[in-house]
Amino acid sequence: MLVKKGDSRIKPSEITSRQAYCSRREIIAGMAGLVAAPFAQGATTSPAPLAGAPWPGSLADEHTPKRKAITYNNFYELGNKKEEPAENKHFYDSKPWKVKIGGLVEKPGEYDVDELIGWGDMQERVYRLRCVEAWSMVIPWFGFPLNSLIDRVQPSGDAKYVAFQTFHPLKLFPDEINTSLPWPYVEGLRMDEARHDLTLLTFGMYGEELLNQNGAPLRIIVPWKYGYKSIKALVAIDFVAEQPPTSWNKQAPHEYGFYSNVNPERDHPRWSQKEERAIGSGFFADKRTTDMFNGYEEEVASLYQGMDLIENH
Amino acid sequence: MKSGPLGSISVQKAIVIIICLLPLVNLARIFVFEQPADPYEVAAHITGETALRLLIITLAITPIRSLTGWKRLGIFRRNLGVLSFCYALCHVFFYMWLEAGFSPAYLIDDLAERRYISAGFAAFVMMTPLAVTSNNFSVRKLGALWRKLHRLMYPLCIAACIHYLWLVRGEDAGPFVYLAIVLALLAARVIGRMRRQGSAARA
Repeated sequence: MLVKKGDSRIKPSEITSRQAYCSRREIIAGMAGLVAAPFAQGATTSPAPLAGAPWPGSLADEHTPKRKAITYNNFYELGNKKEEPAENKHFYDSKPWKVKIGGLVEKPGEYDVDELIGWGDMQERVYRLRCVEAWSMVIPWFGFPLNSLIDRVQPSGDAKYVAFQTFHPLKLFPDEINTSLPWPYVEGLRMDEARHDLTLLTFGMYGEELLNQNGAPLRIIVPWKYGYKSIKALVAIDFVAEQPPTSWNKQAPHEYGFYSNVNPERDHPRWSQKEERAIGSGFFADKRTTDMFNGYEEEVASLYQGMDLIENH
Repeated sequence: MKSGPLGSISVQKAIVIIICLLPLVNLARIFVFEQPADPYEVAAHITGETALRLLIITLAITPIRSLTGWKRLGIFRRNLGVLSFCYALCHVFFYMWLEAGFSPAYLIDDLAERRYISAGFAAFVMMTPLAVTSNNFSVRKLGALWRKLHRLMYPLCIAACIHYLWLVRGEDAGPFVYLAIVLALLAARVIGRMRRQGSAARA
């Protein structure tokens, strides 16, 4: 049934908010679960398990408790407070899902995520996620190098950058979200960064498919850059010749550069980047010292040889 | 002591104080039952925003009193101001503990590097003598100086709002709303003063 807000027969105050509707749907789904447990589990409750071969480079650190990683999120499309993405996860459906791959490639097209997921060998990689807000988490991600996808679609020699795009929230749920960023959210990587083995096309975490608040059904993880570079809920990947615009850089260019490499030497106007709070470590834990390139200096420093990383922040 | 509809003044004050302490109770509840992912963010946010709200209510008392003629409102002003300071003190304590690790070097570095820290610190420094002198003894002892000293409320309220404004990434309307309220309240005072002066000149 379609209910328009402008419909004169129904007062706006009588329209059930999406949030109320969804939580009710959850309750109903929960009740159904009591009767038909094996069938009701589907989309509304637990995500499907995802397996991957352990990756030798994984961090040995203790994982951030999953509960924290799925309730403390920056995903402004679903709200700009940390708890809101988890509360508003029902705003969009991550199934079915298509990703439009275009630009300077041999094989452009709209690919279903179920197809994309078969384009590489699923691995479990434990990376540290370092947010520009000076906190970090240790998360077991499930995915494969973005490079596998790039090889598959064959970009031309002119493609120097890869541009990414998240769904447009105003088109999906126009009344529900904030307008704090110019939508849709866009990000980008230089081709050599995108092809780096650490750059992960990610489908899951903690042994399960991604939840919406973490960017289901697929996202990018670039572990040596601040978290906002690791774009969520991908709908488009474009291979381009020029450096593509990126959302936070457009919003505040002096605060957020294109590269956004984790760099304890380059302080942000609001956050010292020398240290970070390890989420889930509790009240009395000391802050962690932030490592250059978030601890991946050995692997990625060569990408930026000769570059001034303060200037090119 | 005079008795109003809600009992004596001291009972009314107790009620106000208990209401004002509810955010602190809520913070304790969140710590114990929700175990937030980032305790510092929650602690800093709740104590800071409550301090700012109470500060604004304190600032609003005089204009509201002159607007409504409800004289009794004035008796809560100092309590509210001191309560705001208590939250600001908690706010600074959480910052020093969970963010700065009680390191003076960290604080100095932060003051130099981050303008929102400087603004917040300035507000807190201005607030401290006001809280210390918010008692009958000081009012008597300082006399006219007390009124002058407590005009620090005006710059300190603005500094507190700017502290919040510079902290958020600019996506949050909250700090703008607080700043707008503070500016409106200050404007109300200026207008009130000009009117009084005008009528005094005519008389």
